[in-house]
Amino acid sequence: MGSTQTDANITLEKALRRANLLAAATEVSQNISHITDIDELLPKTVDIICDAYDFYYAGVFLVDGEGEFAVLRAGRGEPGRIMMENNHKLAVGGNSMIGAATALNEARISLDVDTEKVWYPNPVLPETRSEMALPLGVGSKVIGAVTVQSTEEAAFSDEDISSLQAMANQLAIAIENANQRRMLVDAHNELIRTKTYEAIATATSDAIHWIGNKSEPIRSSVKRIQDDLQTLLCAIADALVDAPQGIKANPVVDLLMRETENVHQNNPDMADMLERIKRFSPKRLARHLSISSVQEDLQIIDEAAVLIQQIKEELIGPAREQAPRPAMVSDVFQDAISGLQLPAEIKIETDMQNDLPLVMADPLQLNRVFVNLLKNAYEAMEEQSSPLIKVRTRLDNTGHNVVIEVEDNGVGIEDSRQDKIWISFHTTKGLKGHAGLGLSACRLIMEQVNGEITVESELGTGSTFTVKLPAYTGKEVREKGESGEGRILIIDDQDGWCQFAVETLETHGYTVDMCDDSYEAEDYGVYNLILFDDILMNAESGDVLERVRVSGAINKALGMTSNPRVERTKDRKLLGVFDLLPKPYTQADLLNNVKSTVELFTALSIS
Amino acid sequence: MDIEPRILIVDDEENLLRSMEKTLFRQGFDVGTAGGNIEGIEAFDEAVEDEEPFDLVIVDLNMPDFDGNEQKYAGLDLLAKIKEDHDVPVIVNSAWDEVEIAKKCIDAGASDYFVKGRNEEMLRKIHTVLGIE
Repeated sequence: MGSTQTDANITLEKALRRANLLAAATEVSQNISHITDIDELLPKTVDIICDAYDFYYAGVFLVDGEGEFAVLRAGRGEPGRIMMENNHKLAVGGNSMIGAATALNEARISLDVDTEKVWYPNPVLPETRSEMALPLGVGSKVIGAVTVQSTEEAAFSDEDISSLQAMANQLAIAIENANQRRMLVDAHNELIRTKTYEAIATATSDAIHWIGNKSEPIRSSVKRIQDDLQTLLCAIADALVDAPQGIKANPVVDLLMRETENVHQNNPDMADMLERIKRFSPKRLARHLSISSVQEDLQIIDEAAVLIQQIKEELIGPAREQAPRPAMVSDVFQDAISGLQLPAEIKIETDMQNDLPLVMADPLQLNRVFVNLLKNAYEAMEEQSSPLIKVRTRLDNTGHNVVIEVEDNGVGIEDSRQDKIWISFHTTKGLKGHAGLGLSACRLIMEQVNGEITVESELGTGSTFTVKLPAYTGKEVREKGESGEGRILIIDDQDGWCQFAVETLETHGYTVDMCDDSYEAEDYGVYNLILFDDILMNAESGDVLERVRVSGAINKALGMTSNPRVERTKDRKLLGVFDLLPKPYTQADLLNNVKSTVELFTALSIS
Repeated sequence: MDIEPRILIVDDEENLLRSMEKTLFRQGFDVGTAGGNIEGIEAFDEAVEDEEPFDLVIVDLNMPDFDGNEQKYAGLDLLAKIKEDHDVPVIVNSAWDEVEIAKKCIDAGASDYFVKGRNEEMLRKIHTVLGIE
């Protein structure tokens, strides 16, 4: 009876232990299966094993590339850290348990380390009494081994081996998956590097080709002009040789004759040339001595210079370091429209939602993208009798992206060309157009802020360019910002930004007045600060500010612009405004700008 | 114009200097040139001594400074040096297309700031600064 009881107890204990081990094995495999980074996987695994099975120590070895050594890649606790630091490794097939497990793809157990022949005491693990080494096998390949160690003698039974080996097999699969993933990522990165290099190499050779084409005519034209001027001069002088003395005494003729002597000295062939010219038919003569040819050559030089200047302007944009900050898409777009001033016959319909979230992007670069899209639309509609650009902003279906669509009713882009438009120096506009950098710059700018730009187009109907930008989610930043006091005049259109500025300032202690429809106020002197938007829809801000200057309050004017430019900035400064700043789109930024300026005015007694 | 207004241009880009000199000369100005701060201040002071002072100075920004070393804001050093004793308008003509640099120059007392390659308005400005109709 007693012995039956004991047997039953032992059976129960065994069953319980087995259940625990299986639960632990399940836990280990569940916890490790989702970890895809091997450097994260291995340390976590040793912790999970020790915690689940209540082991003293666990470590994972991986076989090195040559199959020579099993290298410790993760170890539990302080002992693990020390051994990792010492680059602990054991020879595959050597005398150690790990060495044997990795060589033979078999588990090794030492139930009492003191009696084991092939066991070497490890000074950093003094309490180990029993140890097991489990191979990590994937198919017939051994990729490493796990060591688990206990402070109890005979801690492992045969049943434990199968449970632990099942766990080790799971681990081996997880490691293999992580390895393969890493290889895939490496391969992908390598591919990107290669592609990027190819792209740069292509763009560079395109640029060289382009600059070569545009600059080549300059030197030919210059050479022609030099020849033509000399020939003209000498031909005129030659014709005047027999002129009466009175004409020769004319100071202009005298100067001409003396200049001609210099040319003849430097150019011994000139005399022959003149003899030949004299025998030319009038038609042939006109080809050789042509003022209009000189003018045409000068025109060629000028056009080439303009194009080369332009490429500098277009290259400098995307090359400029981006300074992404929360930005209001509708405001930046409206400013792009106002700033570009397309001809009045181009109708622009805007459908912009003011309550859209901000996006994280550099407003200056966004402006560049929008200006490029508007210019392209304009140029695509040159033949269109009723040109119309439609601009829409909205949130996409996921609610995480702000979408801007620019639609035109222009010539459209044929299917076969739609992927080429993004390539640098690809242009259909010839001389009249640009270097073909606009859309490639747009795409580059979008990539840098994790945005997207795409096109849908139908030949003869028009194109729609769609820009997608991730919504800015840092709400907490918007709420900070200090209150202040003072009376502020805002000179702006009644748009989204203006609404934001008025609300922000009013809820933070300021008294705010708006200008009237012609951007004027009755008495500029009563304000502590005059806040103006530098890009206005229906007026040039310079003209509006001139009235403020006349009233004597220009030194209290603080400008805000979504598109800071040298020319506008220096003009405002020369007019006497206090400063022109990048337009803030968060409450914190706006309040900081306003508060520090008002306080500075008080300190300087400007009021 | 009875007396030709005198303009000093200081720039270390030789062709650009010569080209500007020719343009302004044709416009009827008496033009002096210098390739950096040292030459620039010498030319300026010499003209003052000869009682033929310059009426306007146009400076580049990035050029040899008073130690002869190329420096990003050398032109502003020259501007400051000139403005110490003389109330002469100084226009900055620079390749830097940077808002903050433009502000810095206006704050330092420049009468205007132009970006090279986009300075078509400079001639008009020179007339305004010199009070020429």
